[in-house]
Amino acid sequence: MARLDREACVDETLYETWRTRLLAFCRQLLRHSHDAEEVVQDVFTKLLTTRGRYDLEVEPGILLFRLARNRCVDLRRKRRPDSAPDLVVAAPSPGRGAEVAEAIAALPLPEREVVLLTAIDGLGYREVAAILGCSLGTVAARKYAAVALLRTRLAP
Amino acid sequence: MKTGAPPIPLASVAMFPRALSAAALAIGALGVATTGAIAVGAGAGWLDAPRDGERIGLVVTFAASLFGLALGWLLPRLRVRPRDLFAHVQRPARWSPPAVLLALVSGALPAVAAAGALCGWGSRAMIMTAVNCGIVAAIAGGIGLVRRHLHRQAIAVFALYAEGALDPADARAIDAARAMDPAFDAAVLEHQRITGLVAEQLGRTGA
Repeated sequence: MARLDREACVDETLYETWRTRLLAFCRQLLRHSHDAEEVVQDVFTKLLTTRGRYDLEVEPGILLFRLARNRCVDLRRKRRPDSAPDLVVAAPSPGRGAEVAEAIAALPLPEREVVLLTAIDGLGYREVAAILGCSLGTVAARKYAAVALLRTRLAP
Repeated sequence: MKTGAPPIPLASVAMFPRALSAAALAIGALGVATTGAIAVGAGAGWLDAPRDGERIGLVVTFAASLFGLALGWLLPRLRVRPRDLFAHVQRPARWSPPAVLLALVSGALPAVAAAGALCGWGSRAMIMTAVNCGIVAAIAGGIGLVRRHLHRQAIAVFALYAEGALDPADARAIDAARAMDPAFDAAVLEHQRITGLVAEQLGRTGA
């Protein structure tokens, strides 16, 4: 019983700590607020139902982002090609905010993932490599490619 | 980028299977060796009589030319714009596999050889042309692969350096090069500016 209480407490803390960040990541990746909510719910449900399978003591962020990212990729595959994004990505913001948001949304998925993970949550390259399941160099090369694309699109 | 993250040593940046580059070089070298052997053999009249060695050489070349052509198809899809020279080499080399195949078949089927002779292209000229095209394609493809590998490593290191993630000892060496090259300095500053814009935007709307 004590163990269950402790686990519930851990889950609650995890939820409070990571929900907003996961949601922000999924919203930007999917460009669909309802799907993003669904993915985040799925991630925490999976954690609850597969209790004990994951070691949450060590780097929970990597695990949560990896689960969320994989779920987003699955969802994008299943999503019909004609389903339009429901998010207004280019939300009104001061300066060149809308332009930057549009440019980020137009990035190819691999580059966008890296940009979002490094920018939204400020993750390091090692963590991003662990989340995406690729090498450190690949992450850095994708970041370079993303910045190069953004530079072209944001050219004055 | 996360502040306080442990620095990344330069040596840990490796993203492309080196075995593939090694394989490209090995096949290229094999192609050169085969060309040399065939050229020597042709000089000595070795090609006048169909022999097993000749056919083995052709099979190897056929594989090498296919490899070179596959790279010609693959490299643009890996978002690497081939150099113009590479494109010029690949264009005629597209005919190499069918020509080598035809030469191999003509050795086995006299009717095909006779048809080639009727067209005014003897099997020997066909073989030598096809072999050379195939070898050049394989070498050019191997060079293209190695170039891609180096390019990808360089851009990864650049991104790590520009974002301050690189090990300080490695970054110092790049600092020295940056101080001497205004264009490089401008590229680093531009990378940092764009990264800052993105962080600012996502920090505002992401959470």
